[in-house]
Amino acid sequence: MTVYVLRRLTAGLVLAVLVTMITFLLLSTTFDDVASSVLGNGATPQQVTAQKALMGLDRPVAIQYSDWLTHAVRGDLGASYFTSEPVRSALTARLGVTLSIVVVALLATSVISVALGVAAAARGGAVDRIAQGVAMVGYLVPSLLVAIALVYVLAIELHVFPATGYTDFGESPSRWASSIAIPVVALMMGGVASLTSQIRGAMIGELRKDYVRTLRTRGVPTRSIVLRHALRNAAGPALTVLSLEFIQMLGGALIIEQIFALPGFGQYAFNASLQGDVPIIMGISLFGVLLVVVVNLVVDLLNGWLNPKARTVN
Amino acid sequence: MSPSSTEARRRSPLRRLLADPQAVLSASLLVLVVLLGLLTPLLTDHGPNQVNLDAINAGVGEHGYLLGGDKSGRDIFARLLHSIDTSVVSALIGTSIALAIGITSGLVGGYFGRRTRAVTEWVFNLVMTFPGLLLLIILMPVTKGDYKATMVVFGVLLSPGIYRLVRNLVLGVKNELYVDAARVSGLPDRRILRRHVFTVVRGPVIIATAFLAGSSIAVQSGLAFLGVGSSTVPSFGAMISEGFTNLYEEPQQFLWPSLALGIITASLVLLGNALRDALEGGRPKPSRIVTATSYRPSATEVPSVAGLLTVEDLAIAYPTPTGELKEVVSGVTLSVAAGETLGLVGESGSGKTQTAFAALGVLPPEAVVTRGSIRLDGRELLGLSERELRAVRGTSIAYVPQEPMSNLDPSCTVGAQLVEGVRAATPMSGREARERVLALLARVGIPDPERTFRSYPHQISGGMAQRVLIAGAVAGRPLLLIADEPTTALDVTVQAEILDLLRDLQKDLNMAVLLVTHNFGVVADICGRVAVMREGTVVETGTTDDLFAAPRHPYTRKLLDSILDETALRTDPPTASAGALETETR
Amino acid sequence: MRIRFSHSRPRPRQRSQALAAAVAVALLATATAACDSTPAATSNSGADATLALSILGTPNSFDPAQLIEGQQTYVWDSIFDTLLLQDNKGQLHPGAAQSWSYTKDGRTLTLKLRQGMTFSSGGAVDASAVKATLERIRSTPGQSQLSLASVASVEAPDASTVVLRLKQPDASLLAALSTAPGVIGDPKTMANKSTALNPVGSGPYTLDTKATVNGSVYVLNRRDDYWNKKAYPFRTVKIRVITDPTASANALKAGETNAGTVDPSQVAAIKAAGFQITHVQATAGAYLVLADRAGTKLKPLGDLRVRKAINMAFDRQKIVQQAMGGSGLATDQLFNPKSGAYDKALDKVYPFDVAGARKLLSEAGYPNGFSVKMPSLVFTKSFEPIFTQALADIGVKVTWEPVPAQQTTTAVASGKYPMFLLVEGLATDPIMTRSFYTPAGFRNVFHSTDPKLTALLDQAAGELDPAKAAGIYRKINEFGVENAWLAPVFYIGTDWATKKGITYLGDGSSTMATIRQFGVADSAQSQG
Repeated sequence: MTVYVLRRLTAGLVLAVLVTMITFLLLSTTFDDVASSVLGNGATPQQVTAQKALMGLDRPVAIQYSDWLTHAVRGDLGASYFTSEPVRSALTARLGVTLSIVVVALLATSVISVALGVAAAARGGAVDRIAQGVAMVGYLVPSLLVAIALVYVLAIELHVFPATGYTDFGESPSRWASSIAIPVVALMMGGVASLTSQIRGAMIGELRKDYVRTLRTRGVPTRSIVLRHALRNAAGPALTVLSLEFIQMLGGALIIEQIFALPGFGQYAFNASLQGDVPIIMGISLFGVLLVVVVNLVVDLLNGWLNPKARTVN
Repeated sequence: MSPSSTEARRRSPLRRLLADPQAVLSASLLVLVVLLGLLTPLLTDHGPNQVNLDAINAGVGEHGYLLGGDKSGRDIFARLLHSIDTSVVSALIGTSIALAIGITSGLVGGYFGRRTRAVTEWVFNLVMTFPGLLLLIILMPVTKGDYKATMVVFGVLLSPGIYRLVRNLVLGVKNELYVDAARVSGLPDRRILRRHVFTVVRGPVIIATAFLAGSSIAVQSGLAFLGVGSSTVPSFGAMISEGFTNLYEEPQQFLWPSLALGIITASLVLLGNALRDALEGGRPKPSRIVTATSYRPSATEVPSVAGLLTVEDLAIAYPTPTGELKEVVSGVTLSVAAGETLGLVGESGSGKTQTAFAALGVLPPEAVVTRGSIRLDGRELLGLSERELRAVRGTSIAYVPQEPMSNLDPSCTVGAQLVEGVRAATPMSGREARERVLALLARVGIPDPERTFRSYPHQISGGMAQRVLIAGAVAGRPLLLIADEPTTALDVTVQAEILDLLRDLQKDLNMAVLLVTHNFGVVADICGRVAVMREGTVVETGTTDDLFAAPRHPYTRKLLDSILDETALRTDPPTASAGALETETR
Repeated sequence: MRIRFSHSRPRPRQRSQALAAAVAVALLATATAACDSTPAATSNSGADATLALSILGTPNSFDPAQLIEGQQTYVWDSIFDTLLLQDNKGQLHPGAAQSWSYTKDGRTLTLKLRQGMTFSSGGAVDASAVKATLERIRSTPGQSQLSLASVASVEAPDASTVVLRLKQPDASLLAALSTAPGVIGDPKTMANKSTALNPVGSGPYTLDTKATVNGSVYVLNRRDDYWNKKAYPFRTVKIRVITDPTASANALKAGETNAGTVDPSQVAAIKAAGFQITHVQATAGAYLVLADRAGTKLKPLGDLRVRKAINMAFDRQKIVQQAMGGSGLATDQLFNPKSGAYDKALDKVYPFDVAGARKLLSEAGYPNGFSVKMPSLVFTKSFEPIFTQALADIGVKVTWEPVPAQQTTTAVASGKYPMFLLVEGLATDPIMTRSFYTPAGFRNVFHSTDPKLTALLDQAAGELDPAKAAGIYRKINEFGVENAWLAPVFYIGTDWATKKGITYLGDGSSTMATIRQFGVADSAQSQG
């Protein structure tokens, strides 16, 4: 198990090197733009050349990359071309904001979806119609609209939650919670919809399986059959949906962060890509890779735990 | 298997789809949307970028603009229609690329050996790890902001999701018996993939496709919302973005495109759900697992047949698509005395299994008991609540199923499942239960109980699994064991051992056994009495010897006649066939 | 308008780093929402007032050599002193330099520094600090470096005197010294990496690095010992980066901010919510630059008749009325309408006349018009439909080529596009002239020249008297309009919303972003 995790993490590091290398190669075509972008409008060609030299962008790409890599290994990701903010601390701070929203949204999505999906599949009838209604609303109503409506009512009219901004958890957990409340709800909408229907469908399928009947004939309580057995088997595909949902939410966070003026990762990454802020983009690739590697590992481990067959294959 | 689901399976997926209002509604919405997109030139004269300064923020119907004008004086209606095209094209490109790459490699990666998988795994991890949005933006100089090129890239970025989905499904299915069987029987890999694996993968992929199309459209809109890409391509995202800045003043500029986008995505997903349901057979309708029959026989009825289990005039029906009830069991009467073994024989579809399930109280939810009574040790079982039934199950009445593998929870160890059953039937500590289960496993002839206890179902053979199920069934020392074709799914060499085991256990525990089978050999082997079923009724009952010697009903005779051929074909175990031949020649 | 503080006049809001300004102008969001994060603080009374301001783009490094103009000026201008000050009318006043004088030939500028100024670190502000900062700027590539291109050397003969020797007279130098090139950094820390985020200056405020979240919230605390304290009535200034205009409007309404710019469409609603609206008629302009005046890349543009025809394609009044909700001003001209170069009469040169334009095109030999590819830039996107349609109406078919944001600068400068649309913040006359009309100007992409113009440019460069210079710039403006070097279409206005008690004092004369634009309204002096 430990060996497996270590192996996966090592593979992840190799991936990180590859991805950052490819990113750097792609970026290297825009170094001229980067230099003049840093200088702002009106820079002379001489200034651009000088700036490129100053930033070391005139060296062979391979050397630049290995330079970046050796620094990165030591934990030094450089500093933004534009703000000179150290990349590592900048990204850590912003990732905290984004992960706050995304992880809370993901957890809430899972809890609500499992509850709704399972109840719908196991109970049917009115519960099922409610669950399907919730899913339908989730699909149909644009989350942007929900966000704005919530802001209007809860922030502007009632002053219950802030309309913009983020408070760090360390500073005040309660203000942290209220600062992410509306963004989390807005982010969850689509996820709840798709995960609920996924779980509902999988649960219906599971509950019709032979082993459910056999367990019943042994006098095993319904609750245990539904939650211990059927849910566990239905959770595999749901987990895959959830991991996709995670990635999707990271993307969605970008827009949510913009609308709530949250200093998050998505917003930061987007602006950095637009500006061509190479150190930040490289840092983002690295963080992004590690994030995905860890998430995939967690998903696979969970999947292995849920599905013994997949475990033996791994 | 309930007749209705068999029937449903026989109906074409398309017909089932057409019967599903959700599918019809979402599909018609999508068709309508696509039609609107295709008919754009007929529906409006205005180009998506045509500006009329006078019509800026125009109200509904003003200046010939059906839905009013946006903040640049363009026709919102025309832009909506043109945005449909953009969305449809985005969905087509993104989805087809993701599917083509994801499915192919998922099948290859999941089905073939470790080495192939290592390669595909690695490549997709690489793709998956790429920060997608960033890549799309970095690649803007390459794609020129063209949304079609962007969607090609996005399709590639989406493919790992499909790859993983397919790979996991294939891995899960790969070691299933039937694939093994197919492989052993020498089917080429390509055919196995298509025949067996693909059917399993199909449903989840189809629902994923709906999601893919949805997310392609969402990403295209999202990028347009963020202002990445060409401003001249009409897109819901661009419209939403423009409307958003004008939200408080002209909310409809935001509302229309949001609504259109919402309808398209929602329809896609709902259609996906409906499609999956149709392809995988059976309606998606959930049903309570607890299916206590509402029918309750009147208490005044006097039992006319005495025995441990008494089934009297039992009728079971299923609703047909038209809503009428169709009986599959009509008036079965039989009884099993304590300690006796009754064979319930008949062709498949004759209602034997339905009768057995009714006795266990585990009929499928849509089944309706229309009349009759089932009494166990004098107590009426029909109409009992699930809770009441639970008290009976395991201790008084137990069940051994036909297909051992599918009757074990694949993600639970054998031991855990058995322990749970034991403790449900008889309250005891976990430790005691474990001892009990180990003893039981030993008793049913499992050579290394400890090891089997720790194993997962897929790690043990079919014969072992059946022993495990038998152990599970007899754990609570039931008065009556209902065994539904307990040997049919097993290798011939194992069949006899299992029958021997059942016979031993029956003697040891002094259980009554109701053995459902289509095999007269098996009946001859262990049954004292036989009931022959045909089309939902019992046509003949008698002791095994009498019935074999002098079958009264023509159907019984016909069945007996067919034994010879069957044995020849099936090469039943020597004991069974010998018994069968013996009785036949007698 | 009540001005409670000495000070300030417009400094050119130069191109800030492409994106921030770009997005800012582009979205018309011009957002500086001032906000109080605590609703209680909105009752700004007297010296305890808090100003919380939202800006659209993230401030760059605070290294004095890398400062960039634009909305982020609100932050660094509060931290650093500048040698000269610009008031809200754009007039120059003494700043850290109490006085200044040119020699007759205009090649030597002597500045006398104010006494007793200190850096927030406690060190004294003296001539050597000024010299060190200027030299650092001159050796660091960047926008400020370009503004000091005419400086040959900097000397500090004594602790309070700084002498700048110039290569040639530079009419825009003094204005430049009131903006980024004129800041004074602490020589001890200037070169440290930490300066980028935690600068040491001698300005009215210090950056509270504890409360500041880089890229999101910048908190400034006033220095009580500052020499010009009365120009800064706010004890605390919170500047929040809010890139989305709807979000900044929400922040205003929710009471998280107490001042900011709002989209014209929201003015009524914000007003109803109790905010005071100050309308600035022109802070930026939308110009179609007809850059290829020699017709090397796009032959038709070489013909004056074609360029004139393009100018006649726009129904400028209607565009302002309809598309901009009246928050703007129709124009044929490049320069700030509040500046000396602007000439109202010139706005009548190109009336809207589609038929006339088509006729001119026919005369020039293009009866069916022509096609052209233009760069679609981050900040032009929202205007493209209107321009496309107007040009299509006279037969000029435009294809917009998306340009990634980070290539905005290079794409325009590359000479790939014979004509392009710019949405650009207004600057001072010298700076606009330098960008658009000098052969090396970065907006003069095809390096067009004309003998008449060259003579005017030479004249302007040597003229140090602002009044006389204005006349020359007016002639340059006239040349530009008559030769249709550009097709300016409209100025973009800005609506400032401020909570009761806070006033916005700017009128567009100065396009510099400074906290001095915000005043406190007493009951005695309600807004003017």
